Amino acid sequence: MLVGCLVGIPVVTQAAQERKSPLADAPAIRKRFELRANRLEAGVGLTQTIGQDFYNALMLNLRLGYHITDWIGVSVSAGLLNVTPNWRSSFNDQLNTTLTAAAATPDGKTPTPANAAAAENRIGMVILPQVDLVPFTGKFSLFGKLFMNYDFYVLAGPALVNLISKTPTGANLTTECRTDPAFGSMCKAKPYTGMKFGGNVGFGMHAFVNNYFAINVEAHNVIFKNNAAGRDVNGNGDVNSFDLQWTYNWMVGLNAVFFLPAHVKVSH
Amino acid sequence: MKRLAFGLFLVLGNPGFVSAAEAPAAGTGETADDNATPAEPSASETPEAKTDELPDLSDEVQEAAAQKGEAAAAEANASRRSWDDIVVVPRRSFLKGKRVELAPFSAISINDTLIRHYSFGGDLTFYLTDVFSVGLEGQYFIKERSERESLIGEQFNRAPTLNKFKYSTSLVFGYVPGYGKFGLFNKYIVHWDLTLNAGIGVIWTETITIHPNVDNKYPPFSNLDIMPHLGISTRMFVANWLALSIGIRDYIFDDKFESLNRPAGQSAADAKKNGQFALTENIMVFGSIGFYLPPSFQYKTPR
Repeated sequence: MLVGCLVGIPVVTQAAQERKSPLADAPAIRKRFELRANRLEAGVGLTQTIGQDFYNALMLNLRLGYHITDWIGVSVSAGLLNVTPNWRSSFNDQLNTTLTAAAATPDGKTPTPANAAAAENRIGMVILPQVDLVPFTGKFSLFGKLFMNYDFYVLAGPALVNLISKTPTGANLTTECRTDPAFGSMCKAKPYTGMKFGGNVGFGMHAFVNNYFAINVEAHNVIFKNNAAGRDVNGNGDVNSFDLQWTYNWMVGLNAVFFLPAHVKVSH
Repeated sequence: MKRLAFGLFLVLGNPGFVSAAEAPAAGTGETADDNATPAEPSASETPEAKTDELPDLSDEVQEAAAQKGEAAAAEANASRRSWDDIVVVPRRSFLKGKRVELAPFSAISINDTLIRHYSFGGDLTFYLTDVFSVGLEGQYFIKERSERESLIGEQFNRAPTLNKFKYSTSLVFGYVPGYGKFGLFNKYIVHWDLTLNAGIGVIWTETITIHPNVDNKYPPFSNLDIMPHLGISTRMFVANWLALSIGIRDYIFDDKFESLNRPAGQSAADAKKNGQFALTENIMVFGSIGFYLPPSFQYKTPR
């Protein structure tokens, strides 16, 4: 009996020390609905620029993607059509007011409101191929009634931005051009337009109404070189590529998206 | 037989073993199971059931019996892995009621094209309950003129009227309507809450004169404005005494700007008298680290 006790006690003590929670090596969430893994995502919505210098844009947005696993996917978010090409920022409104007042007494240095508007560009279309990384997933309740799965993701990728102007040829700006004996034609104003290449970083979330339909919110910081005013920046009297500056253009989008196939895999 | 049975009884009834088996589980602490509850261990796997299967007693088999006891103990440990510690709905991991939060923060303004403000400050908040709070906010601002502001003169021959923010303080009321958690890479559970804020306070601002203040010809003037604000933030709980928070606050106040027609040599008082009011909105994004006192808390209800 004594031997049994002496042999058994240390063993039991060691076992007690090694004892650990049955959940120690378990996943945080068991039998989880893998709402993204191996699923296609397609949806439409609206995306809007925030804090643009001269013109903000509200664009019809298309989002297409494929989720390779539950936590990583590739997608394209594209603002295809600017439905508000004449939406001036508050700063532009104030500037336009002062330019209108100055136009009554022209001094040769201050552009007319029409000239200023003709040189300014705005975003016409944005195409954002990106990688979506989904580290956060969870579930929340709305007013204790409506329960929804959600995820947060970060995104990054290149950006294609089409810049447009009110008058693509710059026809209204001839009064701001002159001929320099040494450099030829020089213009103090010229809209910077066309398809531009840049980068895109941001974050977003899905709120799943059911297993195949979700509300998607995305925020992008689209980074590209621009001269939004279309006017001289470096003071050399001409508008050219030396006047371009890196700009950070925030956009927020809201999409209704569908996930296919509708069937959802459940984790172990 | 009786001696062996008594010996095994002692082994299985060893105080150390019992206390360890009944101790709270260590490790992950909680698991969210969306669709299933863990199965209970079967009664046939309990160590008491094993005692009925022991062979007959003899001196030669005492050692073997001890080994059997070892195996039974190990099996007991495995089968009694405290499933009782796992509850269907875990408690909140963090309680704020009757606690004080001191949260230094940094913020940046996001809505002004011409001037950007960075701020450094702190929130001192007392939580009346777990969802209602009252506190004081104070911040000091640092201005930065934007690239666009510097180009207005070159490109449009215009000069903007701007004010810089100096410092502000507010009384803030908070309400927490939402509480939740999310899985991080399906490995960790992180608890968070959503807070709505409303407050009222004052802000000190100062004009940035259109003309350079050479020889004190255009002295700036200061304003003291009443400033209400609304805010929304989310807070992630890192430890019993620590939380990380990000949020947005929207401050609105009626600020007085320098007149466009200010003559040279006009005093600051006269310039202020002839200044122009404009409603100013300042939206700032915040990041803060909250330290809670007392640093720990106790649950008042059973699990």
